[in-house]
Amino acid sequence: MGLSFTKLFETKENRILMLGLDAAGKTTILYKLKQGIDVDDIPTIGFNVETLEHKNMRLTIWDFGGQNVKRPLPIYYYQNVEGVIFVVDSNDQDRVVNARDDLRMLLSEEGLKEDAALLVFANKKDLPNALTAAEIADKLGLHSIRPRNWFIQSSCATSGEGLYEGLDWLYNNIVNKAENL
Amino acid sequence: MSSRKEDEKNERIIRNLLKLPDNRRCINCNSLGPQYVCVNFWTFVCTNCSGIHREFTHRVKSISMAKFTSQEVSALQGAGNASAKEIYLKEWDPHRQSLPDGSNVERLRDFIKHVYVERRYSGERIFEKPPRVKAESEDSQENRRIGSFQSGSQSPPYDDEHRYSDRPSPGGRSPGYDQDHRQYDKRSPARTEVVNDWRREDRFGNGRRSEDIRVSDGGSKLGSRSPDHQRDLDVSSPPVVRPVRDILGENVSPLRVLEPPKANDPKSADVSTRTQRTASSSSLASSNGNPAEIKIEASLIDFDAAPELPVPAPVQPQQSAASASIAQTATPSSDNWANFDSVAEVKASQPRVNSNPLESVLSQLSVPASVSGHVAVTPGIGDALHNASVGTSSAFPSVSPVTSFGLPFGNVASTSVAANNSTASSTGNPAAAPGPVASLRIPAGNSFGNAVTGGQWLQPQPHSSFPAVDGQPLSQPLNPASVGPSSNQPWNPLFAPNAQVLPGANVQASQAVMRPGLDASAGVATQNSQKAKSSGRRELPEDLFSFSYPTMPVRVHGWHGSPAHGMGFNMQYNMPMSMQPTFPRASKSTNPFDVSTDPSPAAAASEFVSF
Repeated sequence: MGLSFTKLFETKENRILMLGLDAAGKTTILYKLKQGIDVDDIPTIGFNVETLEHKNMRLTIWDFGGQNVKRPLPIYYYQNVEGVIFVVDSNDQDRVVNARDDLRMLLSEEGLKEDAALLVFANKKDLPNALTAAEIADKLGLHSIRPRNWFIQSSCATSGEGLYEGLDWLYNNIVNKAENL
Repeated sequence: MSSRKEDEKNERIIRNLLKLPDNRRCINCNSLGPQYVCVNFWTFVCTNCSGIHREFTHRVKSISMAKFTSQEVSALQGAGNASAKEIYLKEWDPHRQSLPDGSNVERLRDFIKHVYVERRYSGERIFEKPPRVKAESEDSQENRRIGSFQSGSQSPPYDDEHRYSDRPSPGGRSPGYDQDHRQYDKRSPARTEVVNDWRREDRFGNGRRSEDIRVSDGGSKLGSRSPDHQRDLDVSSPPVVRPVRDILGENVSPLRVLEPPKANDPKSADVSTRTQRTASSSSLASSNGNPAEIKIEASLIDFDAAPELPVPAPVQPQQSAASASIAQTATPSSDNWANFDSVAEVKASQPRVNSNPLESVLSQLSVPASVSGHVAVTPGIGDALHNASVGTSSAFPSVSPVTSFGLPFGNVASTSVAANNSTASSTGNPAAAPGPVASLRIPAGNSFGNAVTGGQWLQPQPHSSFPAVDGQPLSQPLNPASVGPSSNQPWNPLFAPNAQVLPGANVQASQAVMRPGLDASAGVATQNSQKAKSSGRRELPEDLFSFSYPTMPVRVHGWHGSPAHGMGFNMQYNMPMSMQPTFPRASKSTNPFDVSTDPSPAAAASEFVSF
């Protein structure tokens, strides 16, 4: 009872990690979702944290700089994470391989819960050489990461296209997970 | 372990590379201690510039956070800022051009775009770029405006390539060059002078060029047309003009071109340039608030240019075509009267379509009307323009309802009077509607007296003024329009109301906009006005007016002789083009005057509907 009560009247705070290669558009997505603006951003040093309200759910999104290759995230960043947003620059076909490697490392993190959902944004779909979401899914090997729920959504962070569709999936996934408990 | 050692080694190498003198500073903004490497060009850049590079999808890596492979390190060793400058900034003259400030993101973005995306300075092109660049930076805003306006009609003003190519061959007079120069002139005040000289030569020598110029540069046309008028006016009132210059260097150049024909006053040329500037500046000032005005001018110019080309009229104004040319133009215009209606219609429907030479003259006049309509359509139209356009639409209605005249006139008179007073006390007429008109006319008359060439343009105004004298509102609008744009903002408001009242004003107004600046030089106006009044009302109409002023007179005649015709024409013309847009705008633009003017526009509107 107590648990359901809190479910009803408390907006639980869900931790979401947003990762991806540098210049994939993570920070742009974050601030497009948060403030609806396009930020002309410099490479993120460290991380940005913003809390969004989406359908009565509070999402705290941690946007880590993509350049932090030398220092993997400490394990405690992965703890109690409800979902991971992985952003791929679908126009940068050469580095999709790198993205795949990063994603595998990410999913193999011990601190990451098994039921944490994976949302992939195939970003920059407006650019001419952009791969489709299906192509990105193939190249990332998403189909082989069975146990985990994943969803790929093509997006354009500057226009906001696709962002809320992806967020909706994440929301539904988290809600379903909570109901199944 | 080996990989870690390698990473450490790579980082050490990069850190050492950072100590090279060229690598100590960001290649783009010269800020100390770059923290990123742009992998596309192997340059060391600061954090701000790295963000901008990313916007262009250039790959950027952080020296402290990212890993560099051995290949990347070796490539970086062979490159760096020093060699990148040899490639991408080969033609960059640090003495003339300054690197963008790291705090100015817009400029940084432009710089990076020019250097790395467009590679302007990679040696592929001629050296003369640097001055242009400066000019751009200095006048970038103004230029941009103009450019944007022009861009619609002509080639994009900002094309760096054009500019650059142009510069190298200042002596060259190929048509292409002329256009480029023109653009340049408009954009860069400093350059304008030289360019202007060119233009003058070219224009005189080649009818084409003059046409091209007009076509290419709306400002030039305006300037060319107005300059004569402006000159005369300017001479009388140089001081006002000067401040304007600063604001609008571009406009000045075109004006100068026109000046040569006027040769009458060598000094006047300078003055005129100043005055022109002022005129332009005044228009700009009005436009400042409203970018639309500039656009309108450009559009007008374009329109005018197209019609003018076939017609001798353009040549006359530019060249000092003297009285003879004027006579020609005048005659055509007179002929046009009959045609005029048709022409006017054509113009109304399609301003660009002026085929007849006479029509061209008319078109210039009439074009403005059409322009006004366009302007009304265009979002950014300046207040003055709006007023003018409004005036056209409203003017027609006002004309038909004589009764309405009284009110509008009274308003106009007050406004015009104020203008007149400022310009010239001579017009005590303000009480009577004609009075204001007379004041308007006066400038035209002045232009006549001063320079024949200018006469055409001026003449139209006087004509308009004549009708105004007759009691028709048309002349008033013209005057206000001309006054408004040229004159300082305060003037504009006054005129604006007038313009609203009078339809004829629209056409002239557009032209006047160019000229107005000249007229604006109030001091001149007083003298001119006196002359114009005296001559304009009585004598001028017969001689000059008949010719060039057909547009105005025609309308007037139509109204007087055959009100139905005049009305019909006006109605048709105005209605499609500017009616709807003008009215709302008119109310907006003329806010201060609304009270006084409102009756007229409203009446006009109602009248229109009824008709």
